[in-house]
Amino acid sequence: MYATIFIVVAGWYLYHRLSFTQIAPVFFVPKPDITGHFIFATGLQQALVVHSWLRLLFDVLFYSLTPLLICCFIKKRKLTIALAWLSFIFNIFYCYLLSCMSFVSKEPFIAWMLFPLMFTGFQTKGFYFKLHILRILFILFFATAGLWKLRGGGAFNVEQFSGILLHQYATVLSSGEAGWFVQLIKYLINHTLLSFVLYWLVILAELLFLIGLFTKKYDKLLLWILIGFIVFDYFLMEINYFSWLPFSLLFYFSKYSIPDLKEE
Amino acid sequence: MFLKQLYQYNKYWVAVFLCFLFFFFYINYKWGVVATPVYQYGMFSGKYRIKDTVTIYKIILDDKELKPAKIHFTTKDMLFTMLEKYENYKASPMQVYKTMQAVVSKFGLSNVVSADKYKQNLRDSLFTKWLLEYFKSGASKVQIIHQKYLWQQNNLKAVLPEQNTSIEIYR
Repeated sequence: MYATIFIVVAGWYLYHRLSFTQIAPVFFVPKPDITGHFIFATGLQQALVVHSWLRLLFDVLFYSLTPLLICCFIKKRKLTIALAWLSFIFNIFYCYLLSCMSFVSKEPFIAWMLFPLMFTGFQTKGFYFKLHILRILFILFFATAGLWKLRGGGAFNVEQFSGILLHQYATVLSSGEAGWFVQLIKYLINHTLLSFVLYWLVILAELLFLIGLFTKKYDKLLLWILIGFIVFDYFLMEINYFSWLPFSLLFYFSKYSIPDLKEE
Repeated sequence: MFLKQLYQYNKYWVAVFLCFLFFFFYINYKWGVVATPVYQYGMFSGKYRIKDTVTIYKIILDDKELKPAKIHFTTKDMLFTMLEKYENYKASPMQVYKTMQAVVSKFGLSNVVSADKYKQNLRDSLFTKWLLEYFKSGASKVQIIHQKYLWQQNNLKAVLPEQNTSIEIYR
């Protein structure tokens, strides 16, 4: 299932020309990121701008490593563990550098970075623990997004979501073009209270994930909230968070337990 | 408890897990620099207002303005976001390097990444040519301008005349 999601989402990126080869970048924009700073020590960012063969190599590796890893894991090949670690490190390099050379943020790529670690062993017990470690981490990622909206003050600003939509669609709105989607955005900008309610629904959805730290009983609900969030972001905000879909698998498979592990 | 079970299974994993959590909370508390794959998920948390003026970039291809509503959002974001990023980056290219050096020098690691690694050949003609190629446009002239807008009476209205950006006209 993870490999299928990867292929579909990665296919979307390829279709929309978001690989190094298709972008053929002429510059890079560094980000305030400690790991990124050390990645820059390798000089790969400059080499990717200059060498088309390196861009192609990066793309081929990125798009083939995950399917290869899953194949090896299913067939229990010895190579799996080395491939998993290689995928983990390479995906960090690939996703960080791609975000420096495109408009795509690095945060949506977090699943491609962390999921290879799930396949660093064949023991069912180990897999179970890694699944739950990732589940807890994702809960924290998602819930802190809600907490940040409280800390940043957005949650207490009635104009917040109208303002976000205005900034998000400024280029389209200024061009004076019409259409049902532009009308919908204008409606939401003008109706600040309705937009603010939508913003708060997102905050509540994010904060609701905190319940997952104490019980797995509501994981099915959290799974649907996550899918709803991804769809909402794609269609209303035009932000692709489908690369977070692998995390939904954690909330589906969390219902399984290991016989010799007692729930406490 | 999960942590206890994990500790009984593998002590090393508990240490790695707790380290990740520590960095995650520290980075979130400090609010600023991150360390991939430890991020801060604060998107759209700062205050946005509809009364603020918005600076909008425009791409003029062969004297015709590119209509952003007619292109897919990925292409639109690629063109307009990259062009804003390019202009901002051109204005202070070594800013991030200085910030990062200030952070890593606290750990005695300031010699690991030299300033050369952040240097690049920033030329407007290269950038505008890239823009044309990415958009698959055969235009022979590209002009990038910007203008300030304000949300008034159900529309974004220009409040200042169009202005040239620092990006040179490409012919």
